[in-house]
Amino acid sequence: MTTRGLTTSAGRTEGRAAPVARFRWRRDPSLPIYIMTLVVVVVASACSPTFRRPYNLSNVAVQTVALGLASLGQTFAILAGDVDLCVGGVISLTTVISATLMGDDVLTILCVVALCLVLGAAMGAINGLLASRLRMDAMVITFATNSVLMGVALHLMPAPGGMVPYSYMRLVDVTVLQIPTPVVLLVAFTVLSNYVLNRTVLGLHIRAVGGDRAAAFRSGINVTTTKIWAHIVACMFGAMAGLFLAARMGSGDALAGTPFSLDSMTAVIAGGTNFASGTGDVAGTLTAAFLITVLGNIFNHLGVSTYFQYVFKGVLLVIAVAGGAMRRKMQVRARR
Amino acid sequence: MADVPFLLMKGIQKRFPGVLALDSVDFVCEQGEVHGLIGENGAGKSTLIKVLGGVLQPDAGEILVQGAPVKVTSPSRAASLGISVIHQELNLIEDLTVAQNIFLGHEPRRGMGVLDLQAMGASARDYLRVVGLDVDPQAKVRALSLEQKQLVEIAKALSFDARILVMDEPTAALNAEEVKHLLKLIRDLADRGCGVVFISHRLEEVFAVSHRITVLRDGKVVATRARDAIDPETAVRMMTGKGQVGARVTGIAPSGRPLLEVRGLTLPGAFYDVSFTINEGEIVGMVGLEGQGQREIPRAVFGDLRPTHGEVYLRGTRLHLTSPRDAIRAGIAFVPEERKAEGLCLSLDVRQNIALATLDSRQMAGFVRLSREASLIRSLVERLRIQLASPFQEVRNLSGGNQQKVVMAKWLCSRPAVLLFSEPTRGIDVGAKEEIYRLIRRQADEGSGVLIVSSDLMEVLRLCDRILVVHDGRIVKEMPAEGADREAIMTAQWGLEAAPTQGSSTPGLCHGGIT
Repeated sequence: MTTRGLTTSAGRTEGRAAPVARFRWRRDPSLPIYIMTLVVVVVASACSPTFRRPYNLSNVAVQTVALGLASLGQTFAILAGDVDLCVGGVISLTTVISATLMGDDVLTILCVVALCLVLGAAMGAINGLLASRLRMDAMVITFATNSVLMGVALHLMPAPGGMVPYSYMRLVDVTVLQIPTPVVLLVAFTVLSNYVLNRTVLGLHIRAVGGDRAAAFRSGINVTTTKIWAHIVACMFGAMAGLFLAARMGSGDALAGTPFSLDSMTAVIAGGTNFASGTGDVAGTLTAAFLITVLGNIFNHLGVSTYFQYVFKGVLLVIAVAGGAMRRKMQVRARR
Repeated sequence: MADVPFLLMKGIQKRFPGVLALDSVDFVCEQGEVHGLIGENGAGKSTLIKVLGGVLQPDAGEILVQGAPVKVTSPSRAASLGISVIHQELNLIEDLTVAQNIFLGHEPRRGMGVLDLQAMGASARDYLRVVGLDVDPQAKVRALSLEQKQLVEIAKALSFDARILVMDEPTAALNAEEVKHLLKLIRDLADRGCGVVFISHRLEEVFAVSHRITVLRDGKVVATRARDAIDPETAVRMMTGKGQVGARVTGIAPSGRPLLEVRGLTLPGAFYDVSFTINEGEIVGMVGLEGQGQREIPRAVFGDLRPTHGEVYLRGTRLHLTSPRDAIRAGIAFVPEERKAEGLCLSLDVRQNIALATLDSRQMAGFVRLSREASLIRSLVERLRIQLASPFQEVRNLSGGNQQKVVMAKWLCSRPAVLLFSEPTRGIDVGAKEEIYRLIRRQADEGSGVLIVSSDLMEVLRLCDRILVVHDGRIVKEMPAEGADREAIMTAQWGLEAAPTQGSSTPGLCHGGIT
């Protein structure tokens, strides 16, 4: 994956006495999720002829986009030491607004897209501001704002419906070199996020605040601003996920975003990002989002009840996190 | 330059509720000098450092940098003035790399908020070379040893272009070799024109590294002298308070029958080969400077820490303590110094708190027998004179003194044979202090053995029968409290007296000498 390359080049070995820099990939907290994804895809391809058809694979990739985008945003929030349960609400409201306001001309479409992104950014700013100014747990704040957004969305559109213009729906089907545009965009955003998190001042500050808020503060970092930015990014990615979903569904749904708050958290944590340590990266997140989507897809193909995917999501989370914890423990032991 | 000192603190005054922590303190630090700052526990060293570092604001007095008055309103303001403080608890983020930690908050950039990784790596290496640390700037701080982390912290301070570097107990957790290296570095930094304020509880280090030494006592500067114009014995004399010891809190003389015997207790990193006896009816005080291991000793006896070697005997029977539960069953009680965090459940009421430690004796098949509990608690509240509106009052709303009494009540109703206290009267007003002293003495009169770890020398001198002095994890002196020579205690506390097992008594060089 392209993003891997960046991380390793950022952490290239220099000088001597660097026990950490060597064998970096073996210490990568995302390792369990890569292995699991590989195993699942190989096994599924072997078992199900319909799964391995190119059309289905491209379909799974497109299905990943919404969760992928939401999870990228969630990675910023979790790296900053918070969690954003509000992405689901942002997604729901975005689909509703798109299906209600979009007219069939380029200008209105662009205006609505811009409106949704601004709305997402504003929500994120509110979350971040409340969380750091009121010194309240971001989990509580975003849980509350999520409920507010969901309520507004339901008020605007009590039952799924509305229409987005056909031209907007078509955007999803455009391909670049046989690859669907949304997938290309998702990968591009992943690369961009990786750059921001590893190569910019904001990324470093986000990791520092998430790793040790007090130490970051004493180093002269503006903790409030940093957290606000992390939440803005999280909610803007939520808005993008909503815009994509609206195009894919062709309509609005005030409950469309509901699963995303928790699923994005699952993807981020299973992808190797740690709560309160500032470690982790978006490549793992994206892989985990893909795996979650693949699992749902496989069950369809194998004719297993789709409800089992909830069970498997839970199992996946435990395995990925336990795997990481065990490896950490072994590293600690090895160092002694 | 010569007549205007680089840093001048003039008439600094700081008052905390009930205590004048700094009383018109004058302090000077020049560039290129190492200035040792010493004093007893609570003499005002940390307060002075906090004022200098922008953590606390002085009530009066001014700070001048190169002759210009400045207001140090925050740690980052201090940093921009060239003052960096390295606190005892390090200020690094474990999961970031060495380079990231060094430049956190003032990263080299290439515009648009993009990090200049090349510059970061290169100058990180420069700073690491200055402090003599050979690690990869891309290594995570988590993977470093404590000494290496300390050096990273110094590199970080240097990267802020620190011209005054304050180090609060930088050697506390280092071994002799590492200390040597650090002291040499401090001298090097001074030679490069940096002013270093060095605080340590090890006098020999202060004397080995400082050009000048300032002695603080009770929030006042006793003296600032060139290193050659003062010797360790004089310094100790200066630090020792001259205030009157109040009347001793006396009771029935101890029986002389051994109750608790501790033999060869060792917990590497905290204390080594600690042996002492507490007799029935005796109160033993344990004193030492901060961080000498004295706080861990009662915890180990209580089973909260697991010593690697040594035995504990109660009335001649060996105890196998693996958890506080075992100790409580054996009749040992422990009142910790952090009563809010460890001794009490603040949101429960008084009755529940008292009952927690002794539920076993008053329950039937898992149900608490409330009637029996109520009468027991009523008698305890009366006996300890806890001022309460009702036993159903939340502990959170009580005064410090009354909270401490609740903690004591909690343990007294289990009728312990041995009571261990850590700072029994910290943060408690004078009146309540006296009552707690009397309660402790009464408990001893009833035959219990008591161990008190305290940083308040007066308290130990007034209340205890015997005093043990702990230095560097070992008991270095034992003496009766009545008529004890405070200077002798101080000398032992500062490690200026060789432990009984070590033959020679070369003052100041217990650690093998640092030059």
